Amino acid sequence: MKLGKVIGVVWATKKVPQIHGCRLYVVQPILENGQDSGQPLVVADPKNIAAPGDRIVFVTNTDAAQAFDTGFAPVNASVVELVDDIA
Amino acid sequence: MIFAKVIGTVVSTSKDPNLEGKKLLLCKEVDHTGKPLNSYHVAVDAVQAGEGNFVLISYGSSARMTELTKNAPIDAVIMAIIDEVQITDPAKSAKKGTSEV
Amino acid sequence: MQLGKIIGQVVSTRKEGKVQGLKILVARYLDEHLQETGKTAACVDTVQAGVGDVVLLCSSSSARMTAMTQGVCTDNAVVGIVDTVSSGSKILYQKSDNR
Repeated sequence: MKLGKVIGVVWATKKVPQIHGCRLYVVQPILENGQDSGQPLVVADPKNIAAPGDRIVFVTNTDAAQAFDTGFAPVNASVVELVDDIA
Repeated sequence: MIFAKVIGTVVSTSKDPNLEGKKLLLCKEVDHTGKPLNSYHVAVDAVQAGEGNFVLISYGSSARMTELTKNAPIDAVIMAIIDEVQITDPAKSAKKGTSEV
Repeated sequence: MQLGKIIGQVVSTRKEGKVQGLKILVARYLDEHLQETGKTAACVDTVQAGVGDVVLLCSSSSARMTAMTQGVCTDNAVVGIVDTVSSGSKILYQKSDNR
């Protein structure tokens, strides 16, 4: 699981049925101190947890599909938690 | 998922039976501002994309998670056509607030 | 998938169980302009490709999704022989008949 910050929204009307109704965000991976770490990527938000500006926890690779109820979605990264504070 | 621009078509007749009837598109990877990056993918089209479209590509084993690509030897799939990428973080936008693609 | 050009074949007599009997080819990766790059890969052939062919290379776990490579310890497979690559009206590559 990785930390990231939502820096943008991807609008797409035409998408595969598996991700209908699922928001897609542009996320900048960050370190625990808030510093940028690597290039921004697209992260799906199947549970509608995040909003622009939020810090989030996301999962990548095969785990990303598990964030969907169906467990079947062509995504490389998914939001799983919203970060309130890093102690 | 990665951002990409469809730049061409790939045609193959002798291929794996699981690839039959699937459109293969040549896609150049771009970043969130639309700037071309140094890699490309030949991706299966799951959303009727066309040349010039900005799209999202899912890669690796996740690419097999559509009805079209299930159990097929496919490691990249076009799963959405991008209308717009709206960068809300002012520090990250290329020019203004949004990058129309 | 990536585009590659077959430049040779790997001959190995002692192989892991399920790889036995499979043809392993050496492919040079091509870029999106069909120009050769410096990178090469060994890949299992599933479509009777030959030296000089431009092919489609499928990597990672997806490479094991062909009838021939199911359960085989491979992470790269040739899954198609490319006939044409076009960009708009421009033909970037066309397979020649006299091979």
